Amino acid sequence: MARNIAQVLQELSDCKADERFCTSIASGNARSISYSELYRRSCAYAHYYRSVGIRPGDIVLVILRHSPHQFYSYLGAILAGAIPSFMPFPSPKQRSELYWADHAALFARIEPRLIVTYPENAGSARESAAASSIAICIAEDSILDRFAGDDTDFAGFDARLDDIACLQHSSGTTGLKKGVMLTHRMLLDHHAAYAQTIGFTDADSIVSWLPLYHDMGFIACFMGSLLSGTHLVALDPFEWVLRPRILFDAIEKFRTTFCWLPNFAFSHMVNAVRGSATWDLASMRAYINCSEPCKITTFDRFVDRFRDSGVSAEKLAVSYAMAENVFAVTQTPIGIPSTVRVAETASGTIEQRHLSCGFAVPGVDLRIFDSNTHVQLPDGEVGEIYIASPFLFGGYYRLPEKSRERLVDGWYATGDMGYLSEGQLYVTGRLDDMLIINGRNYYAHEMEALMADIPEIIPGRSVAIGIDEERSDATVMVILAECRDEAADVGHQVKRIVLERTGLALHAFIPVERGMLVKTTSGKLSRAKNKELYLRGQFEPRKFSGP
Amino acid sequence: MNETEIFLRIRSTVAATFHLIPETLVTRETTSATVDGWDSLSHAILIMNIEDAFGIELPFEAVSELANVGELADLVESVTSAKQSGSL
Repeated sequence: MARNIAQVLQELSDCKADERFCTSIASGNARSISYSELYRRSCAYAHYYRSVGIRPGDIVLVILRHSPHQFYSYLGAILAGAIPSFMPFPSPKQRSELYWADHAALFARIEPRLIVTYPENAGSARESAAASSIAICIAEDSILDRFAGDDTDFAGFDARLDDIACLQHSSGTTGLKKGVMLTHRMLLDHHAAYAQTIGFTDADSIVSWLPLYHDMGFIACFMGSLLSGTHLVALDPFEWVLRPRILFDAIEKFRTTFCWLPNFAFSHMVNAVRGSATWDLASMRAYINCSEPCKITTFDRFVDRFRDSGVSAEKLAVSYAMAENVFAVTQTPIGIPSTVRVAETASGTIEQRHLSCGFAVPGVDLRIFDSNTHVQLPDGEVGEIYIASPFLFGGYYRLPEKSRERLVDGWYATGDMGYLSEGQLYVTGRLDDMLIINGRNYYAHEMEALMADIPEIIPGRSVAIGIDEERSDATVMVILAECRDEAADVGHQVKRIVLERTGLALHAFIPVERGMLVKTTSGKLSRAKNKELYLRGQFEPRKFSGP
Repeated sequence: MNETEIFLRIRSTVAATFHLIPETLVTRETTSATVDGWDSLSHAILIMNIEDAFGIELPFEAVSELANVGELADLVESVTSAKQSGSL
């Protein structure tokens, strides 16, 4: 009989008591957690939750830095029958009061009963949830001692497979985050299908620096390890950005076999791992590129740079994934180079090379529809990607209209554009204005709305665009805006507001004269045309002008 | 190496990392918001360039919270001094 997540956790504690669940590394110090310890400590949190009145179905938000308490508090909520969700921890550059103010709308909608965080956030978190009664749990070791107990009669063991196990929130502007409802059955069925696809067994192990609020960090790495009963090596995301070589140090030391990375991370490893040092990375079976458009040039640079350490094209794979399908939709075969297809533009003059995202994961059905006529398209023709699967989500938490917009007759309209060829999916872009920067989703219209707070910018006269920056081989965001004549230098202000509100460091702000930005025939500013003009150098990019 | 020499070397490293000409545009008050292209990933590249220029390793927690070039110079000075006193 199928077991729910709480039962799986208990069983792992019995069967693999002394085996490693995780090695959590911070500042060079490794902390090993066994399956029995994971269970015991998660039970302590579950006892705590019960003691403060958390009931089955209550929402518990985990807002913590890289720490084992992330795992304990999250799984403790599942044991208690509550519904946990990881949320991003504010970056040092974000203004704390704005971060929490932006959460007020989200909290009003989802009404969390408890937030697990640190003392410095307690006051702000309470204020943000002013309309609802919310408890704050301070994540500290004393909880593990105070609430240790043998009684494990938790409500989570009685959860039905179709009960919601957790919420996975989309990235982007906080107030508009959508919580994908994931049931126990969806998590378990997705895991079985994806593990079969990549040939993942309990002899494998995973290394990850990915934050747990991201579906790749949460589902592929944390849940992937847990549901296979294998070893996860978890690195601090902030530390990895500054010292990306720690990923290779960890692979060499712990002989891990799988790693999931967004495209920018491959580039960052190439750009920021210095010197002639090599690593023994022979244990790795696959580095899976996911969650951003995957670039052929990035793969080529990664192989060239780290060939002497054992990286080869055969070990680089691609997956197309989204929280709405728990995670993986497609996957390229492990152990062989991903297919590259040469496509021609309509005029036949420009060749484009597309990297395959692979074949549908077992059970997943993929179709391409014309986004205007809604007619299904044949192989090779670009349209909107629709998916159906046994683990497709049932909707967004407390957002019935948004759910109905995207879910029609069991099919999910992804908003991604692409085509099928010989069973493999090729993703070519987005139908809407979503930009993916460093693995996180931002909507151009939301970034443009932030410009309304800046009096020097003419209202409604700005566009946010994504640019492939050659030097770093990464996608960056640029904002072009028409400014009033007297506007001297608003760039600092724009960058500060974007950073404080979204955590994104804007690559460049380009002020232009009134009337310079191009409109579409319907009178709206055209992001595509203005991007083209920007890339052609039509807007003089303003260089650094000093403080 | 005195305070001025440390700052001049930092100024030149910041200018070279972000292609700023002339390098006197970089002051102690310069922040990431005033320089195009200074994001979290290029910040990591800058820190590596600084570490290479001074032969030191900076503590990552402190590096994540720097407000401006002046604070970066102060951090480098303290790490350099600690290294020198440790080697005496």
